[in-house]
Amino acid sequence: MKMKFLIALSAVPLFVVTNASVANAATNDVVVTNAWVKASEYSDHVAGMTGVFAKITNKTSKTITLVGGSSSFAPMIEVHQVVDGVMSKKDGGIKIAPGKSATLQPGGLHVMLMNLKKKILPGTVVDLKLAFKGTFGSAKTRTVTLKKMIAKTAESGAESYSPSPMPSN
Amino acid sequence: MSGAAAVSGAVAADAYRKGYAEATAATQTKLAKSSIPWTGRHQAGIESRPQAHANFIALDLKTGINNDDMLRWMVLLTDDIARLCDGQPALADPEPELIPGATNLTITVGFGPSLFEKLHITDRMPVGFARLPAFKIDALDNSFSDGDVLIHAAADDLQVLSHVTRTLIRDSATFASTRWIQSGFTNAVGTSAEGTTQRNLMGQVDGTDNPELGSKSFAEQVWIESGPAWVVGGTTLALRRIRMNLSTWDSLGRADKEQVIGRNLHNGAPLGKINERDVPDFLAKDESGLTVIPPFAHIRRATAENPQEQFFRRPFNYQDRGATNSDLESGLLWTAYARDLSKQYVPVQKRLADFDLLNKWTTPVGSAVFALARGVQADEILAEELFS
Repeated sequence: MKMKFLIALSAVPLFVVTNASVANAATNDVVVTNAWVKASEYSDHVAGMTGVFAKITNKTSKTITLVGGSSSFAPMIEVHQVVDGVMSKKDGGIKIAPGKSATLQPGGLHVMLMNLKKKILPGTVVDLKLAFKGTFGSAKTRTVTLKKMIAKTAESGAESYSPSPMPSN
Repeated sequence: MSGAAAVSGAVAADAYRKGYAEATAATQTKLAKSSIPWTGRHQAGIESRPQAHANFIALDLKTGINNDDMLRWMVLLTDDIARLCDGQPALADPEPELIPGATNLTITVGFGPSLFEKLHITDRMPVGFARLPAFKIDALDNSFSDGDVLIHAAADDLQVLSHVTRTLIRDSATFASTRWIQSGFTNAVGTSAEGTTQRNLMGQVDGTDNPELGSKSFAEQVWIESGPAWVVGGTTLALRRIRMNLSTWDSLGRADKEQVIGRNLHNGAPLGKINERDVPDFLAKDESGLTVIPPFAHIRRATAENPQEQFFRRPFNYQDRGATNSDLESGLLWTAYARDLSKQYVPVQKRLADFDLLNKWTTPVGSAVFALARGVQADEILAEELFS
């Protein structure tokens, strides 16, 4: 009886996600909430591209780095930044300090899905696994699978997915 | 006024303002946190107290929209419903701070006959679901009638509802354009005791003869239990915009007003009875031999002539600017929820259209019917079976 109780307890996550509807992934070391993909004229065709946005929280005691990911929608996934309206690859990935969160948002840091194999339209459910480097027990890498990530249009964010970056002024 | 009285008056006023501010803050905090579960066998926003504010939003599909597109729209709407009704902003909301909480928000989605026709899925309509027949009292305005899709959002805070409405329309814009929005209201939370039947803008207690929420008769009148799976646990809705001619109604005497409806004005009791929920006696006569409830009285004409003619009403009042700047139009966004409107509601409406003195002060100016999908669990998509 006591044994059973202990087993049941060990299955309970170490922390509580307060709202299930906003969490896309909640592992013991990385929590991803409010993940979404931007649906636009750049994503509505094969070979197009788009950005992924989310709040990512590092629950480990060491810095973690978001380095990329994989998806059935895109063979090429990069971590990007927007500086003065110009988008570029963020070399070295996105670092998140222990206990801190990174917010990926239009006009700022984001994950870029490139050379799309399938079009992404408003309401398309997109699969994505995010790849992290860090200290996850004995492992040095961590893959986090996002659930129920939806493509949406958005009016916010001063960024362009045009292949030729816009000048900053 | 003595100096002492002036001071104590100022102190009292100050205390009142301070107390009011504190009470208001406390109420808002409680209200912001108040939510109605959006998951379950039935959609929320039907078997519940009408909120203070409601928007009925009808949308028409854009050209070329197919079932796959509908499914993606439903993915977006389901996600919006889940978050907003939990008191969270929608995903990618550009103004997330405008959602302080749910304030008892419900969002209910339905589909009009024209949607089934456009998508060639009329075989998936609920049994008996069809456009309403023309009634001779109708003076329908196309801009308040029909529609492919209905989104009915209601909350106890108007600012929350305004942002929710904009969010839902923005997330629908790829698929449909807004055909009409009709806004309605009831009393604010806390104005009347819990369970008080609301009043319409003619001053009448309106909705006494409704099935009780959660009762067996409610379930039997409202929830569909057979037919296409997407609507088992759903229902059908007739929404009628009823304009009131309040200037002529106002000039009618109080006794005459009571005769027109068949209930007294102060507590809604049937004429000749004491309490609101007393059963009307349609046979009772006064000393001059006339029936206490006149032959033309609304409640006499509206009473079911057989057990089938019963349905649930959840109306909201409306007040808009009328045809001219000096004109104020008041009325009712009247609703009938029924398993089968053709059997439960249409015969009653026909009877009322033929003979009901209330018609003299009321005119139906908008009319639409929608089939409301069954409710969903957290991992389901609203109306998925309809568009798969």
